[in-house]
This record gives sequence, structure tokens and C-alpha cells, in this order.
Amino acid sequence: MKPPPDIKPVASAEPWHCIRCRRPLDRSTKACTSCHWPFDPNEPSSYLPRAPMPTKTLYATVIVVIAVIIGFMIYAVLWQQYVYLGLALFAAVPAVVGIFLGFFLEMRWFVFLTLGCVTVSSLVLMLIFTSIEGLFCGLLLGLIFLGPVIAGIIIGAVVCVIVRKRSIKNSNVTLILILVVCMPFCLGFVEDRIYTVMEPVTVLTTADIDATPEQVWEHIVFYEETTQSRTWLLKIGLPAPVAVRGERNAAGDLAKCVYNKGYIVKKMTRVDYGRVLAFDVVEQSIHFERDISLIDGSFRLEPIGPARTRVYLTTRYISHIRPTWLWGPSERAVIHALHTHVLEAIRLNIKGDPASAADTPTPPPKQER
Amino acid sequence: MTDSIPLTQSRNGPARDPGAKWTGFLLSLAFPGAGQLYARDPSCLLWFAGVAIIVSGLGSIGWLGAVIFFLFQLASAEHAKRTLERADVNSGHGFPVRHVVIHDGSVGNRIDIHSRFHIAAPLPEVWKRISNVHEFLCVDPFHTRITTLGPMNEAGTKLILHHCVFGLRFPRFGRMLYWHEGRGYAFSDISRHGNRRGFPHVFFFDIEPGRNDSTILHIRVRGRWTATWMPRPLRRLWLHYVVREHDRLLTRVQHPTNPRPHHPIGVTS
Repeated sequence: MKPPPDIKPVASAEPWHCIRCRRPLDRSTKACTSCHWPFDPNEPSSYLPRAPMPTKTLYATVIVVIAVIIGFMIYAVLWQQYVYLGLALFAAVPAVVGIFLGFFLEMRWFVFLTLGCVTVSSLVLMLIFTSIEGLFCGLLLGLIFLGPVIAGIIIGAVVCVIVRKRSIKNSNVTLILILVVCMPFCLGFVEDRIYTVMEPVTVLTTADIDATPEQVWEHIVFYEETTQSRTWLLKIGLPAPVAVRGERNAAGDLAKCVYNKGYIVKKMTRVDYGRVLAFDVVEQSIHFERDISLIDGSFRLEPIGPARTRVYLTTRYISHIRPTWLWGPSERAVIHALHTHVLEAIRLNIKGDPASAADTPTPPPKQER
Repeated sequence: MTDSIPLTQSRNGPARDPGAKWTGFLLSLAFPGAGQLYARDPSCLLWFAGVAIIVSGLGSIGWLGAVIFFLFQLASAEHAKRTLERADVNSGHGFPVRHVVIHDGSVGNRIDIHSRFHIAAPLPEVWKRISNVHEFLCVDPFHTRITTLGPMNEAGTKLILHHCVFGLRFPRFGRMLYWHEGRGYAFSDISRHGNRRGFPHVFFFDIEPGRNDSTILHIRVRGRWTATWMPRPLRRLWLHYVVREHDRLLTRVQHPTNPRPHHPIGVTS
């Protein structure tokens, strides 16, 4: 007679383990030699036919999952709730996640480090997949989160030791953990009250092009009109440009630059042929509104030789995320990359145009703030 | 009746795959409707449509939209679980229950919850059903299989209670504390870490004759709550959820012979 489907024949080669204490069983006996829990060799559900997953691994997995979920939820609420983003989001949230890991897990330091990395990666992936953060910001966040997470792990481990040594009541431990979870919200509330709009940041990139100002003027393109392949920084840092609609021949003209994630409307404020093309960003919807607001930009051409022009490319923006020392360099790096890409496009356009005489190589653009 | 049962016995509960309902639950929690699709239930189309409506309509609400979507996910997950449970509705595990009263007499960390079922069936019939511990104890939100390591009608017989909670499978251990033939039995349900962790508790199943050839089934759970870090309202909510789920499974409708309970389930404390 065939056995019922739930009772499977057991491979005899693998050692059996006690279902209760999970230690290997001696098959010649009727009970576990360690915990004395009985087993029946004819009943596979009374023992573990193969080595069980270590309890510590399972426990650590559960704690990591809970820590990631808690971190994600706090981050999402703060991100929605407060206008000015700062330490609450980028330091307190990962610190809470770290404290949670350090408090509930007891591991060697390198295992902690690995778990910290896994936790940060999972948290960042959740933020990216839920479109709370873009790919570029997510990758940066991954790096930024590591420090606070490690600090949090150390704090959590120290608190755990203190709780054990002083035999602190469970209810008080719960209170401590609730306070820890509340910490980012309190910090976010304070930051939201004390922060004001920051001063605009100006990013300037210059390049010398072997052409007259008039030739350069004829080949000026916006970032959205460039055709050459973008660098990896632009690919992950900015949305992909799709098209430009509108004119830019006179002051007051509107140009709508369309991206795969939205659009920007630029209003020309100054159009001096061969000298200056300036515009204001009057509308912005490219998924960065919580991070930066673009203000304006300009192309300024200055002749520095008979057939040589210096191009000043300027972008002004207001950053909403703090601390500035943390995010500023990456913001400026992306905008410089954008400027370089545009200047390179102008240079390639001039080279490709048979009417242009200049075809000698020129030095790379200089970056200034 | 119990004499013919071998010394060691194990059997799956009513579900064909005891973890299937949790698979459906988790699938729908991840994406509303996925659990229903797993259960091959046409209602998955409605859930998918619901997702489309919510995603298109609630995006502008911000965090409130996220909360509404989360509640939608929970509702879908619970529905998927019940859909998969319903697949076994004709397996004969429900009671024709007239009335259920739940009394929560818990004080502090001592848990004492008593459910009283008024069953429209004679006592021998009810006893026949509940004495088959391998099937009856699996009519539970978390029990998937019972292994008895000895004759089950003897006090002291060791039990392995295989659990599946939200997809996590683990065994718990206990002993038959008493077995009064035709009247009831009790057994303990303890974590493998001992009786100081993991909510050690005892189940009491007792029956007594009621009026008009009916039977009163008392199910009492007494134990010690060990997760003291959990806030009390949350603990209370969880325990009541589990008790109500247990009662729902015991009283679930069996068309056409088992009508719905005549009165809604009431809670007294």
C-alpha cells in the first residue's frame, strides 16, 4: 500500500536531528540523548530528516527584515511629512535601523558589518523601487547610510549590554525602543521648524571653443537637444531627455524640455545674438522637486581670440536637502557633468558643420563654482 | 474508538497543503489579487481592477493614499486566505453552531480565554468529532499537523504540534494532560525553548449536554504571555484575532447542511 502523500520516505544517509533540540539523533535509541524527547523512526514528522537551518540565521533574517521595514516606513513618513529634509532622514533613520540590529542581534563584528550592508542595500532598493528616491540619490544614500547604521549598531549593542547588566525591566526596554523610533520624527519636526529656504547655488562651467562667437551661437543646444551618448553620471543622475518644444529666438519665448519623467519649462529672459542666452525655469516637474529647484541658467559667449570663444555655462538652483556639505558636491558634480555634456555637444556640432572653419582640438571645460 | 489508533500517528489538517493559505495571504499582501489568482479564484480580476483604480486615483493624496493602499493589501490578503480555506469547506470540519460566546478573563500576563459553542448536534456526535485529535486540532489558524508519540487517550502522551504562521513553519510541543472519555481532554502547547518563552499555554476541550439534544463545547486557552515588550492593546488585538479565527474555522458554513450561526459571535470580558 502506498503511504499517504505527507509521509515521505526518508533518505537514510543523512543524519536525523531532534525536532526539539535540533541535535543529531542516535537512531538506535528511541529518544534524543540530549533533551530526551522521543521520536519514532517510522514517523518522519517526529524528527528532522535533515540538518535544520540554524536558529540564529533565521532570527537574524527576521530582525533584518523588520529593521528594513521599520526604516522604510519612518523614511517614507518623514519624506512625505516634512518639506526640509536633513539629518532626520539621512542620519537618524539609518541610526534607528542600526540600533535595532545592534540591540536584538549578538554577532561578531564582521557579521554585523555584513548585516549592516545587507540592511542598507535592502532599504535603498525599497526606496528606489517605490520611487521615493531615484537611482542616483539611492546609490548616494547607500553610502551615506552606512556610517549611521554602523554607529547605530554600536549604540544598540552597548544599550543591550547595559540592559542585561542592570536587569532593566522589559517595559522600560520597550519604552527605550519607542523613544528610539520617535527620534527621527522629533528631529524632523525640529529641522522643519528651524530650516529656511537656502541661498541659491550657482554652478559655472567654462570652455574654450575654436570658433567665433557667432559660430558658437548658431550651434548652441540645450541638454535636451544633445544627441551624443550621455555619461554614466548623467544616465543615473538625471532623467533621460526626450524632446524640446518651443522657440528661443527672443526674450519671452517659452521652451518646454520633455524628459522621460516629466518636463521643464524655460522662459527666455535675454537673447543677445552672439553674446548671451539666458532663461528662467518657470516650471519644473522632473521628480526632483523635493531635492532641488532650478532657478535659471545662461550661455555667455566671450571672444578671446580671432577664432576662439570662451563659453560660460551657468545654472542656478536652490537645494532643499541638508546638510549642504554632504549633498552639495554630488549636486555640483551632476550639473558640471551636464554642462560638460552640453559644451561637448556644441563643439561636436561646430566640427560637424562644414561651414565652420575651426576643427582643431580644444582643452576640456573648466569647472568653477 | 481510539483503540484502533496506532501509538504514533500524524496526519495533515483539513487543508490539502497546510501552508497554502499563507502563501495566498503573502502573495496578496505583496500584490492585491495575486493570492486569489494563486487560488484560481475569479475575484482576482476585481482585486487587480481595485489596484488600478487606487494607484491611478490615490497617487495625489500622498501618505494617506499609501495608508489606504496598505489597508487594501491587508483586506486582499485576508480574502485570499479565506478563499483558500474555503476550498476545504466540504471536508466536514465545521460544527452546526447556534451561538458562540467568548469570555476573556485575562489578567496581566495570565491569559485565560474561554469560548463556549452551542452546537446543534448530540453529544456523542460532537465527541466523535473532537476526539479525533489529528483532524480536530488542525481546525486552527496555525496548526497544520499533529503528531502523537503514544496513545492519545492517555495522560502524559507527548504531542508535536506543527505550526504554520504567516508562512513560517515550526513545531511546538506538549503533553496530553487529561483525557476523559466522552467528556473532554486537555493538552499543553509549549515552545521548544521551554515554558518561559513563546507563549506557553494549555488548551482545554470539554463538552456537556445542552438543551434539545444539543451540546455545549467549551474551549479554554490558559497560558502565560511572555512577549512582555508588546503593548497590551496590541496583544489583546492579536489574541482576539486568533480566537476569532479559531472560532470562525470551527463554525464556518457548510452549504447546504450547515447554516450560518444564528447569532453573531459575541465577546464578553
